[in-house]
Amino acid sequence: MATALKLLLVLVVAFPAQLYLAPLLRIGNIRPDFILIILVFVSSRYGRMAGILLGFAAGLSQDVTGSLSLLGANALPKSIVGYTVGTLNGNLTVWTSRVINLYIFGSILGHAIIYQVIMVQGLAAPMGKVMNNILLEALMSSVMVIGMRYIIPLVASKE
Amino acid sequence: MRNLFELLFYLKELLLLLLAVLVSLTLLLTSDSDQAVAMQGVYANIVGAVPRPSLDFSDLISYKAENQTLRQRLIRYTLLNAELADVARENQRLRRMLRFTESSPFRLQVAEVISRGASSVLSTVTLNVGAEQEVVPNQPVLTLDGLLGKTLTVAPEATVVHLVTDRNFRLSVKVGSQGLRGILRPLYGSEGEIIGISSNGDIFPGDRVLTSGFSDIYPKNLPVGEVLEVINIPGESYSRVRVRLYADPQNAEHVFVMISRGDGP
Repeated sequence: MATALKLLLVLVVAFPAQLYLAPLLRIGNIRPDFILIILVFVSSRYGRMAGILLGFAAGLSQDVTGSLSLLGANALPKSIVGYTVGTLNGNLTVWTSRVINLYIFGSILGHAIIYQVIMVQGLAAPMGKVMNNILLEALMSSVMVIGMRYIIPLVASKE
Repeated sequence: MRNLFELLFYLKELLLLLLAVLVSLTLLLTSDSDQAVAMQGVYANIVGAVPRPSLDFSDLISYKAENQTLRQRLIRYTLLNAELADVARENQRLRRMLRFTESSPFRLQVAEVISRGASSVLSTVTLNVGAEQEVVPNQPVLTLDGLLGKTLTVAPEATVVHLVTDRNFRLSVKVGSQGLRGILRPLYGSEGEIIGISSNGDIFPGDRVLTSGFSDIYPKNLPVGEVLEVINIPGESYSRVRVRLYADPQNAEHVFVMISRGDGP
């Protein structure tokens, strides 16, 4: 119950940041995804179950506020990221820092690919631009997460 | 039986993921439902009620640049206005001669963009005006540059705008010196393409794209964009016209909702 409340609190704090701060930090058409960054930290701290639940709930909330024609476009990749990054929960002391960073980047890249593919599905979008946006989105979030890792360590759950 | 429960318990995380994926996919396939639009309405209500945090410093910088651009435009429009006043007088005289009924100008409501959604890619914007300012669904929304979209979900003090860049947006437009009609659909980012234009038409890069007027929502001649490229595919009777959309949802701060089309009696 306490964990659920904490997750809810995280969501409540993350949302205004995403709504009002992210547009100021955008590069081109891409804005940083603070909710994804927080999801990575929460999933690695509390495990897969919490990751999937938070990923789905936060993604769906993002969809309601943003992806008018595509409800579920954020919920789907964020649920998957919640699951994959939640795997770190038992492996933080086993994997080397480099492997953890690579794993986080892979998960975030997967999120960007799924999200952008859903966004352009059915549109005659230029492949080069889509690839650019995928890489930009993945790099932006990965750099923030990996940079923040050294300030706020990804701590394994003791519960 | 016990083994089955043990297996399910062992796989609980994977099952939860599968459930989340299934629900997401179902939502993706039913996004246009009334329930989805109703959820947008609830969101617009919340955003409309929450005061926007002030970001004075960045606002000041952007307002200064915007102010300079607006001053330049004002001078340009003042000169144009003097020219148009002459044309209007002549037009009125000719209309009276032909016994045309007078049409009133558009009635516009100024609005501020209060949210651009929480996704990493912009898909929708929310305005600070709503039903209390006579905004209803399906009214055109404009920027100084051109058409931005139409009102979709209206709350008492907030409105969600269906952007011209949204994947489901379609618009009847005319283009070129002959005013050829076609349907505009978004491509990616700030580009769109017009389909249904005959490959024999005289269309060139730089031609303006305007609303055709074949719509209950958009009056004719609203600026939409300009032609970037005309693609003629051998053997096909229709061209594909790539368009740069004028309105820039990423940077639009103040917009206009067209409360009344002013078509007159």
